[in-house]
Amino acid sequence: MHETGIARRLLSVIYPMLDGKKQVTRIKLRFGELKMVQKDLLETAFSTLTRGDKRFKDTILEIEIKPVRGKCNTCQSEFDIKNFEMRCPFCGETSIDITGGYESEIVEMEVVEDV
Amino acid sequence: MCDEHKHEIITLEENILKDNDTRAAENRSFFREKEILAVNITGSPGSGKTTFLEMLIPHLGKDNIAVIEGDLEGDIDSHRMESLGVRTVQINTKGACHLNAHLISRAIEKLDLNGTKYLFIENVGNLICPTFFDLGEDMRIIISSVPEGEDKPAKYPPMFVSGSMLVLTKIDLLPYIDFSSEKFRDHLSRINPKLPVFEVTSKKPETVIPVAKAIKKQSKEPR
Repeated sequence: MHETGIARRLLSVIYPMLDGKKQVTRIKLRFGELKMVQKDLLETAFSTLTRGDKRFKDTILEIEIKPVRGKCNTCQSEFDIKNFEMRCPFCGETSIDITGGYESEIVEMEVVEDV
Repeated sequence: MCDEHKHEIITLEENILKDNDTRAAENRSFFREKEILAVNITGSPGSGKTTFLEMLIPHLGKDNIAVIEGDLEGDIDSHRMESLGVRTVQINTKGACHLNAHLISRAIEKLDLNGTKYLFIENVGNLICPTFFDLGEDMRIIISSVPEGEDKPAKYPPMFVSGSMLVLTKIDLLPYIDFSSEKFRDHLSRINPKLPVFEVTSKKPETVIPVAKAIKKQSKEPR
């Protein structure tokens, strides 16, 4: 259940940026498939940690999952790795470097401010 | 957009785990400077992580080793290490299912690392969350035991993708358990074809010798 740890770290990034802002309406996040983040668990963790905090009353978490990316050491092709199958779809070799799929990023957030 | 409210989109493009990853990088450069090989040991609860360490220690020399034990609660494992004369720090995560780089840097401060060649970090028993947190280690050894079943690599791929070495434990139980070594290796060769696999059993402590040799070899590789 590393989603609680992620939600806590997410909030530690966001809190310092909320100066004077009234409400966070949307947070866009990006995770690599290798991070195994469950959207519903992250939402539960996020709402638990922000309970009673009006700034996060109706915050929507938008989560983009990035596929695992690989680069073949034999034919140098780059491709999405499906089902964790570490085999080059072009030449069939299994010597592959993982070049993506470990992302854990906060992309942007939308806030509403009283004028 | 509401008339009386102002919407604003703040672009961040920031790594949520930046704190952890920065600290992990600091740990890693500390280990390099001290010429210590840091090994993160992961695996299910009960897979035999501590027993594996007990088997390994005599072959690497207790004075060359320091251990960080990670558990939710208690100091059973650190006592097992201390009884072998190994410098040990116990971390209790109090519910957290993994260690993180900050916990490791605090633990290092409590250890006398003079003369240490190998730092073993026994992570909390869990096949998911420890994958997520870089500790600054040089290598990750996955402990998988025969009774857990041959399908674990297929069910928890990120853990097995992240490993630099796999130790299959409790192989003395093979005659009594429906565990297909062939299927286990098939799953592994699909998701991490380069992963070296070693088979050990505490009933024959000498089975750990090839693992000890591989770790020694790794410690001499340029990092």
